[in-house]
Amino acid sequence: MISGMIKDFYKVDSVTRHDDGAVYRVSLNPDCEVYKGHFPGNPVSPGVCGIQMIRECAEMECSAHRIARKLMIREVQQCKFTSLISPVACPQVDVSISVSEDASGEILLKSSVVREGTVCLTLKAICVESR
Amino acid sequence: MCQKPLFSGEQIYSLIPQRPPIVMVDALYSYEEGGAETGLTVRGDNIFVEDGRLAEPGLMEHVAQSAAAFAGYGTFSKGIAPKLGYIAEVRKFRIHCLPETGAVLHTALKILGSAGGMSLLSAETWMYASKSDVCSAETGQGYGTVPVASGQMKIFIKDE
Repeated sequence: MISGMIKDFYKVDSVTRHDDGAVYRVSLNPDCEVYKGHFPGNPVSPGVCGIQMIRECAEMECSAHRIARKLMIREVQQCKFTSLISPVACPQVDVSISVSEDASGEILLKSSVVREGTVCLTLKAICVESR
Repeated sequence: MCQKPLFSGEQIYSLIPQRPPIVMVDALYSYEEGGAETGLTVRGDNIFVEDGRLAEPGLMEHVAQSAAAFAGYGTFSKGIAPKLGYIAEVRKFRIHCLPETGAVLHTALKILGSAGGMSLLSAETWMYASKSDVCSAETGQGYGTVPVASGQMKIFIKDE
């Protein structure tokens, strides 16, 4: 299991790139320790862990485009959680990432997480390159 | 800051459904109909700590669980166990700095409206820095309160 900040939360199965962005197909790990507490007996992927996963995929995208290597989210303009994600019921989700850099060096990040055709999360955030 | 909390440490478990390793609020300082004040000391073993600082998702989860503690206090006083809740939306959430481990966070929560289990709230989080500035040079405070984050959230709490 390749880990990001939250140990063993997910792994990247494949990346598909196209003109306006990329789609990271990831598998969520139902044995991740975060589920011991969220919630006991009822594993639900914490929304903020979805945001962290998006940030990490965006960092991979930025690296690939030589924009930046580490990102810090300066502002979540909007993040909607429209459907719960359970690592048990459906562990595989598609994370679409679109990053663009503006003149001031800020990075606009747009993302959505889709599970079997259902949009679970949509995010619009402003990031900066982190030290 | 010598405010004595109403609930702290493991007493918080009476107010929120989350458990370790994802407990992101460790003090409830005040409660009233329109809002509450909560706290969190950033510990080194916090799952959202990266390179010695509490990362952005950790700040958001602290605010979400502050809302859970607010709702949980209401049900606790009626003898009801804390209900499961979910973040429905995060809006205009600005992060000014990432607190270092050891930082003491203090959050003021205001409930802007609620209906059908959904609540809209605004939150402001500050930090009590005991050493010289841990954020960017702009904040420039050696002691006292340092703004950490502010924004709005919609939280949905299930009526089981």
